[in-house]
Amino acid sequence: MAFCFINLTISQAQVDQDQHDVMFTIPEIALLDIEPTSSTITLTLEAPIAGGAPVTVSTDGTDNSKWLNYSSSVSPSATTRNISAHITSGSVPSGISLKLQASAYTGIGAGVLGTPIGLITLNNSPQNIITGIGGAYTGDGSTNGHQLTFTLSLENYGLLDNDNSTTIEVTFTITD
Amino acid sequence: MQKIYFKYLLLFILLFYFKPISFGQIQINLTGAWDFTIPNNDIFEAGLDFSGTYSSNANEVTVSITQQGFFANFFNYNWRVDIRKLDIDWHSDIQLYARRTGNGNPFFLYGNIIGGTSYQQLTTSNQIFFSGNRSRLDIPIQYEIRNVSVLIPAKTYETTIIYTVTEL
Repeated sequence: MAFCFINLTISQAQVDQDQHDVMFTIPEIALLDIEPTSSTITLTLEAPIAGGAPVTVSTDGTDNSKWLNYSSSVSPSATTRNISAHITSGSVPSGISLKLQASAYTGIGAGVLGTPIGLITLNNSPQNIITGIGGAYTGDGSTNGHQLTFTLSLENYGLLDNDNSTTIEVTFTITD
Repeated sequence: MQKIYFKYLLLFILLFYFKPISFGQIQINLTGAWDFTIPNNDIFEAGLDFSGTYSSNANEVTVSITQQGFFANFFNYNWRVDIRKLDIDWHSDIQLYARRTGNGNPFFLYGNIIGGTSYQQLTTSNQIFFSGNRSRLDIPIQYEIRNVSVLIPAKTYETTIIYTVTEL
């Protein structure tokens, strides 16, 4: 009897299999944020210090306190993403322009980070300021991402209107 | 008369401790599958990466080890479960882990089940998952996916998890 058992043990492999699938989906993500906050910045032209002296753009006419952070997850077939900026509320006082430049990426992020376009003059039409964003994240907070520099620029001295303060809203959009 | 009873009792005991390999055929049956999508709010602040690690329910899949033929399930036999994955469309950076979160239920008589309670990374090669003896039902399995990042292309990835039971 025992001999019989041993023989059968050797001759038959007792194996069976079953299986199931695991599906895992990574969604497309496009998130954009201004750091440290979306608070208002103030740019001021320097008043003449003496009669006959010109209005100038001093350090008060420039601000680089804001940073752009983004997270981007793209499909294999998708093109890269861009970030654009435009004025969505208010208008720049006559005689001056508002310029914007995004710095090259710096921070603790990784991936296919975007490339700055360079200096642009903001108006009511969206203009790319950063292009070529793939799957990437910049890191969160100031010192991560692209530093934004807003600058006032004198364009036409004759059109300057004293005491013409205004609030302008600039909107940043990340698009496919 | 007593001798006959003794013989039957001895045979009964032997069968419950040793199963002739020719009796029955071991089989493994899985119930469930895992289909997971990263929620859109996983990144709660622009600039961050995905949280990167995602777990299934503790009993996302259950495994039953039985013998073909009802009465063969009363016998004592030893078995081992191996696990591997067969990638259909997978990314090499995405790591898939599995672990056993419970002992399941004995078919009739209590046996042992050991191993597999810590997460182990699945590869395309068979590796020992857990082992035991006697038939056992509804052993709960939990999966975990790790190392996910926005750097990995956004799409649906698919792999097949293959369980192999071997009667020892």
